[in-house]
Parts: sequence; C-alpha cells; structure tokens
Amino acid sequence: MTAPDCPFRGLDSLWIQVAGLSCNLRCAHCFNASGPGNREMPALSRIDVRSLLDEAETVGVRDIVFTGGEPFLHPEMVEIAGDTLSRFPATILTNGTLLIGRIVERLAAAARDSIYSLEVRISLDAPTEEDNDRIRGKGSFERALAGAACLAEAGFLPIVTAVQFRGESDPVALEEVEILLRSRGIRKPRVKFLPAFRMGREAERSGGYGEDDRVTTEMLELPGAEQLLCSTARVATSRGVWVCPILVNERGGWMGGTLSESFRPFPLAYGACSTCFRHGAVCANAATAVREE
Amino acid sequence: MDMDTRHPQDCPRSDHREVSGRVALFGGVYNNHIALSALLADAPSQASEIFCLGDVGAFGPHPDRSVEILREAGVPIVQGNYDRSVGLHRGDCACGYTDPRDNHFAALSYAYTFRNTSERNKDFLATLPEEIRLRGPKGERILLCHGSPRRQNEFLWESLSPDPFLARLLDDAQCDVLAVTHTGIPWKRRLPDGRFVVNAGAIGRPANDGQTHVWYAVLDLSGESPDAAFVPLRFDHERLVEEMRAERIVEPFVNTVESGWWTTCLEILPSRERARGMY
Ligand code: SF4
Ligand code: SF4
Repeated sequence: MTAPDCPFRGLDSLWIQVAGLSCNLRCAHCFNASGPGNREMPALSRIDVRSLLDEAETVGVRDIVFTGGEPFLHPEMVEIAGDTLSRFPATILTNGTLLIGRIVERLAAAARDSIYSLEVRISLDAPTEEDNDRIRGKGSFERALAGAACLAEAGFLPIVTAVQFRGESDPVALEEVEILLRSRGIRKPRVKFLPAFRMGREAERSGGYGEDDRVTTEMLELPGAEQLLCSTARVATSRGVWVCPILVNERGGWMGGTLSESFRPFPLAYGACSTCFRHGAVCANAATAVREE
Repeated sequence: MDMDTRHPQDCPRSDHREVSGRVALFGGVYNNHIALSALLADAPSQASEIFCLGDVGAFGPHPDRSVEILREAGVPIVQGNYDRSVGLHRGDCACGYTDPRDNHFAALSYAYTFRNTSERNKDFLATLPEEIRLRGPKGERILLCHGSPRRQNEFLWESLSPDPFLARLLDDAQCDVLAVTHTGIPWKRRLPDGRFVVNAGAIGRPANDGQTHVWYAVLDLSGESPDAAFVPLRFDHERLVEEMRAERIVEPFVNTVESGWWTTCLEILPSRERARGMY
C-alpha cells in the first residue's frame, strides 16, 4: 500500500524548535524523547530565529510556535519572544516548571507591547499529583501549577494541555482540571486535551503503532482531512526543517535544509498520522490549537 | 426572489458592482431579528448601501423572521457557515468550536434553528454566494466574505492576524479591501501597503465588552484610502431576552444578551480577546 500525499497548502504556523531536544523533565510519553542532556539537536540562536522570522514574513505566516524540549531552557527565550511578538502572534509550549519570578515578568512586558496574542501552553497530565508525576516525574505537578499561577498573576491566560488520560474530550475530566486550576487562583482556566502519540518513549510504554494504523487514500478524501497540521505547518530546527512536530527526528520526516525546500506534499506513511487523522481536525480548528512538544 | 436550489458553487461568485462613499457591513445576525430591524432603520442614515456578511441563524429566537426581513429588504447576503449548514441540511453548524461544552450548546441552538427554518428559507440560504466582489471608486477590488477568503469558517481575530498573513490572504484572493465577520468581535487594519481589512463584528450578540449593544461597520471609500468606522447599534435586548426564554433557548446564550459578556465559545478566543471579557 502506498501512502497518500498530504498536500502542502502554504505555511500558516511556523514551529521553531528553539531549545533543541533538551529538557529538564523526562516524561514517559514524550514523543520526541527529549530529556536532560539530549544534545541531538542543538538550540537555535536569537539570530537564527530572527532570520526565520524574516522568511516567515516573506511567505505570510500566521503564527509562530516555540517548542523543544523545553523552550525556557534557552537563555534568550524572553528576548526571542519579544522579537517575535513585534511581528507575529506566538505560542510557547512549555512544561511550566521553569516559569518563576523575573522570567514571567519580562515575558509579560514583551506580551503587553504587542498587538498580537502570546499563548503559553503548560503540560499537565492528570489532575492529581500522584498520577501526573508518575508520567512527568516527581515534583513536576507542583512546579507546573506554580508556573501557571505565576503566569496568571502576570496577566497571562495560560492554556493547560493534557494528554488524554480518559478517552476523548471527556467533559468531566475537563472540569476536574478546571477546578484544580481555579483552586490555584487561575480565574479563567483554559484546558485542552491532546491525543497521545505512540512514539518515542510513549512507544516503549504503549507498544507503538501496528501495521494497520495508517492513513489511507480514502480517509484523506473525508472532510476535515485538509486540516492536518502537515498541510499548513513546518518545524524549523538546528538540523533543518521537518514536516511536523510529531515527526521531528523521525527518519523520513526531514524535508530539507531550508524552509522553502520543505514546501511540498508529504506522504502520510506513519502510524502517528493515523492518530493525527483521528484528532487532527479537532485540534487544528481553533487557530491556536496545537499539539504538544 | 425565486426559489433556487442550485449549489452555491454554481452561483455567480461576483458581480463587481461599483460602490462608493459609505457602505454598511454587518454579519452574525444569529436570529436576532430585533437588532436586524434596528440596523435596517439605522444604516441608511450612515451609508448608501448595505451588505450582510452571513450567519443569519444561530442561538436567537424565530429564525424565519430574520431570513424574511433580509429577503424583503433585498439586502445582498454572503453565505456563512451556518447558512450553508442549514441550507444544505447538514448535521451541525460547522462553527469550528473545539470545547465539548461549546459543541453541546452549539448543537442545541443548531437543532432549534434547523427545526424552525422553513424549507423555502433553507433553499434560499443554500443558494447564497460564498463571496461578493465589488469595485471601489478608485478601482479598489473589494471582497466580502464570511470567515476568510479561503475558508468560510476560518476565524480572523485581530490578535492572530499579523500583517504579512493578511497580505497573503489578500494576494491569494486578489483584493485590496477585505471584509469578514464570523468571530463576533469587530476590528480593522490598514496594511503597510495601504490595503485594508475589516471585521464587521456581529449584530446578533454583544462583542464580549459588557455592553448590551452590538456593532456593525461602515466602510468609507470617500477618503484617500479605505477606512471603516464601527457603529454601536442599540436594540430592545430585553425583548430579545423574553423571546429567547419563551422559546426555551439555553440560559448561557440568554445571559450573554443580558450582560454583554460571552459565557460560551470562550475556548476559541485568543488570549488577548479573552482577557478583555469577564469569563
Ligand atoms: S513531554 Fe515535554 S516536558 Fe516532557 S520530556 Fe518531552 S519535551 Fe520535556
Ligand atoms: S504525524 Fe500528523 S502532522 Fe505529521 S505528517 Fe503525519 S498526519 Fe501530518
């Protein structure tokens, strides 16, 4: 069976893997196997990011998404966010554990100066410390919540993203997380659930994808298929450009050394594509809806 | 107007009619026939022509009333996602919500609107054009559409629409002035090259600003370059509230009309727009 091509419809979201795959956590489901000391992909410099923003301007990008690893491990993340916000809306995907004091104040100042939205997404995986820390590591629950509270105090409306822990779009689970966030002083909690991709460390945990977990040509003709992330997004890293954040570092996901080389259709040959297909339309609908790390 | 059951794609997409001076633009009627009547009384003092940017139905009462008022007045209408869904007998409104609770409320109001729209009016909604093209006094190519030129239900929020992105949309759609609605909150932007984008907001519900009035836009083509003014539109919102309750429309929608604050569909708001609201 040959994999169907996902057409490229123009770059709406430019993802920038600003901190490489380096992370201070080592989550059980991390699909790009980020972690402490992962040097596979070095960080990008502030100047690298500026030239990416220039290119983004030329092609009319809608928004910039910073990801990693953990973006706030980058020593110049706040400055980079400021550079970006003077030209584009931005989203930072973070585990939240490094969001304290001065960093948040400076980030808030950068956000205030812009007419565009800065979204900060914090990952949490369960509404209880025990369940969350089993996946994301000891202490991560409290530190992430403290980061979210600190952001809220500085005027941000952080979005807490959770990998689905109890089936799809469960309103009860949604409310549980909202109650938790309100109890931490977050007045307007925003919660999004994301599907788990069975790759990276998650593959070891849940067994990865089977042969039948593939997108077929017929599936691509269904409504909503045009909203797959790979039709309107690319990921720029220090090791070139990748088709989507899920397939970064996956052989075959590499699209070329420069952005313009990556503007072409992509064959949906991966198990992960079947997860995307089932959830992608839902995720991509809201302009800010993005998947995690 | 005749019954016409053609698919929108078969309709003439544009008339390139010439317009000048001031043009009133409004969208998101959401069955608010009271605000619609107020608009039709008010706009002629502001502008020489009136266009509707779509979504005649949604969470207000008595959907047929708004369609009839528009048909009678002969206002040109761009098709919104709601109009398309109702007209083509689709299962949902295709509003593009992501929160399961928003979808729950959206499904209730869609079912209500669908049930209470006559077949004749459904056919009418099905045949509305997806875009209207006009020409300004200086040859400006003006495009009226619902969400964005490339997708009927794409949200163009002020804080999520950087200049280069808008320029790309205008390039691709080959226009100099773009007018949209769909988000429910008005804004405008002049691009560095002089081209112009306006989101007319909605007359069906308040703009999440704590006020009970709604907004429409007046595009001004008489100056050096195009501009727009937003006009607050007062209407008898208490009467709307009464009608909504009488029709058993879900309380969160009624609250919004009473208070001016959005209580649902909050998840689609980018942080800047959300921060301005109460919830
Ligand atoms: S999921 Fe995110 S926070 Fe966890 S290890 Fe991966 S990059 Fe780090
Ligand atoms: S994983 Fe998803 S976004 Fe990536 S190529 Fe496959 S379908 Fe596209």
